[in-house]
Amino acid sequence: MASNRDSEHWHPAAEQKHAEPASSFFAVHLAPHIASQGSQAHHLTRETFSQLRQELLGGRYRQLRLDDSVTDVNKLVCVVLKAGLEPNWKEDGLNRKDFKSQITDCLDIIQAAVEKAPQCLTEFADPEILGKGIRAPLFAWLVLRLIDLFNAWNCEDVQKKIGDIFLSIVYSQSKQVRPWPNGLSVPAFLRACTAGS
Amino acid sequence: MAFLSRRFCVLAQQVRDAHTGPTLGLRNGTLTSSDILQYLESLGVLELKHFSTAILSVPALGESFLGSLNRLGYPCRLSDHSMTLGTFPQAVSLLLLLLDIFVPNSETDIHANKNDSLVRLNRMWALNGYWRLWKVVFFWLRSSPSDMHQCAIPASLQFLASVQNRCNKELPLSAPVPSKTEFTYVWLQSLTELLTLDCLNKLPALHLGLSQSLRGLAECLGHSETFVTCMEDLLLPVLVDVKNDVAFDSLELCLQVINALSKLYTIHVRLTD
Repeated sequence: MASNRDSEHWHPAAEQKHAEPASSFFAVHLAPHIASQGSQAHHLTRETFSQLRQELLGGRYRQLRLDDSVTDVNKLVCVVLKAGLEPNWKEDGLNRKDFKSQITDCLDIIQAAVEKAPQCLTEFADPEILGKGIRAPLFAWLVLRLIDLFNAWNCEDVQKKIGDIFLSIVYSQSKQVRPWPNGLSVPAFLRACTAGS
Repeated sequence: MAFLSRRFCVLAQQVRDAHTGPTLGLRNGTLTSSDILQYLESLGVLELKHFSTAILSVPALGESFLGSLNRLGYPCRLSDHSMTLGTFPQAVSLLLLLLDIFVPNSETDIHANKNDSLVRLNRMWALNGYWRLWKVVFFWLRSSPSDMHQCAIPASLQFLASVQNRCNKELPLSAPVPSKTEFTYVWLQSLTELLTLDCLNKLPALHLGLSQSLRGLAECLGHSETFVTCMEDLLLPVLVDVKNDVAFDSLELCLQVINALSKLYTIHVRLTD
């Protein structure tokens, strides 16, 4: 589902012609989804995530940086975590193949979001979207959820995508010119989870 | 006696549960784990070597797991449910993936300076993790009865595959000598330990994996002084010990591999002695 689609409907000239600020992109394409918070977020469909993935990776926004939309990207990842990765495929009436397709789409979206706006990782995840009353940076939620997902889906392509996201998260910090706030350290967090710091 | 009886009942129940496929978590109050690797290490204490099909899970983070996060400034209640690690081989696979992240390779070098002290610190931390993980895997492999090897062998093969992968990415000829030495010692020590396994000659898949890993290590290091030193320090004493063992015949392939790839450092061991 998620393979070989990156170049669909995308052309460099079209990207230049239709270039628009990231904020516009979010207003048109993502805001309606982000507005679906809490339990409503569960009602996002597999097609929604597929479309989002297509917009971010294969559409005219493929090469767009989203550094000026960090908060929106943060919310996007929260929505994807909550509505895309957490639902129970049996209870939601999805067959396993369809749900796997949704999982890989969501992982691609997260990967793209982290690549396009690494600063979103240090912002606190939206507790309303995630449904938890705990204030923690987004990367902490991401790491824990991805570890959980790794073995819940014991298949190579999902695990490969999770590994790629881990790499992006860990090395995103070294790519930043500005230091991360409050001494936050993704490697330290991941080390603590894995084998102690 | 009463305590032992209760203890036995608990373990017996866990064994029964394990074979019916439930989640096996560490909820015994006397055992604590602060991270995933420590959790796997703790399983050895419980002598759970027979749990070949159990789904492992660490308890809710609010208990003891990830207690160190509090020290790092994160809320311990980051997750209010237990974390599933899957079967033992799956948990090993996860840990290998997490450890691999901290070893710079050709893909991550563009983001990280190899000379950076933080990168070196991460590398040393990962090496320590590999070594601890290998101890867990080898314990399970050595302790499991032959009919239960289906749990430990996949995990061992994953570790060997990781060795080969790391060799290709971490030990090119251009890598700094200290890095080569550190990795070579850890990897070769792990492989050497495997050579001492009594039942190695009965496990062809493992034998093949070991041969390939040794070959990978030899290929990456070529004729370097590092490899020679490591071989002399680690491998040769073990080979001398096991050469009269019944398992030695099966090691011939390993020796042939090394001999073929490293003529300068051929190990002259007479199999017929």
